[in-house]
Amino acid sequence: MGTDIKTRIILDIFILFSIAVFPWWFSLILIIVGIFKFNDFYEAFVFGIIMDSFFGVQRKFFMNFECISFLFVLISFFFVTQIKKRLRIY
Amino acid sequence: MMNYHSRDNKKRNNNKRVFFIILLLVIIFFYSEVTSVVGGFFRILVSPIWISEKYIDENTINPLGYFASKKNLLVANEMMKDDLETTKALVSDRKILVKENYELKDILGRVDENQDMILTAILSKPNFSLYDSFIVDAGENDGIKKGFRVFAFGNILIGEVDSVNKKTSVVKLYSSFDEQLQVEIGLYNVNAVATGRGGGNFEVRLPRDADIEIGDFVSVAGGSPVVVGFVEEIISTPIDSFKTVLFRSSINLFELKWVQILRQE
Repeated sequence: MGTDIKTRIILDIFILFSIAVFPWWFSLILIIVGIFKFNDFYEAFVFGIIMDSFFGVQRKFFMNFECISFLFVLISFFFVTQIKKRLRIY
Repeated sequence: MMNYHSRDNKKRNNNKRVFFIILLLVIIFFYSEVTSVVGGFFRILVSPIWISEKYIDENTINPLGYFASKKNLLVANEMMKDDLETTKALVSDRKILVKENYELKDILGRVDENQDMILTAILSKPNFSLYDSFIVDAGENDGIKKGFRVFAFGNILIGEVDSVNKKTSVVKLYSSFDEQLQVEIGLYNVNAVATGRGGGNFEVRLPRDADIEIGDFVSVAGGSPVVVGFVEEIISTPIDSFKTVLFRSSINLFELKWVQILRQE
């Protein structure tokens, strides 16, 4: 239990660091890994909000929505949670 | 007993699900307020990382350079020296043209106002963001407002300020996919709407007989001498009454370290 919490905190710090330093797709992959590895990885939504607050602009391609990262995390959370329920190892 | 525990767990899970959905709806409806509060706090945490990254980038040599062959380095060096001599000659020619331009405008009574430009560093490059935007280290404290134009090397227009914080701003690129910009192409100022294709590239659809050549410069519509890029390719087929003109910015957006923001609405 203690190791799990430590790993989760380290992953959270690394995801925050990667949002600042690495490309967006790397951060999203790490977030999906977090959702997969840990139960109730709700901090993923906070990371989506952070990405949108740092880089969000109104773009025609995204229909002027500035919540694309958050929506991506929301959809990933839903799908990964469903996949986990169906995997034997969980 | 077992049924009681199972009912209790089911009720707890349902309550959790309802709470989660309500929280999500609140976040979505008040998203801009949530992002400004959350973003403001985490920006303070992350700013030292951006500043350190900028310092390291400016003060270290690319380590992959040590693995390049000497012959390739010598060839690249000679090519860059030739390019530099050509560019110096073009700049001298340009200075004469700029001087002539100012003199002519003075005669016509249309003297340019002093341009209030501020030099800012790029903290986070365009390809690091899902939105194809980048962050600069100037904000409200420096008099930056939404809509201010952003230039590279003084007169190459690349985007505009989309949102402003106290010390940083987010810049939207005009060349982002599907973004549109009114431009004029070539010596005859052919008016067109350029659509961004990402990475500093634009596309324009023009009638097939429009007088455009490869190498023509593209400027912002309105008569101002603000360069957006140069025509790189023209795609035309006999059956199509339109042709596609592809042009790109003359600078590499992903290697930019500094930009200028024009403090003028």
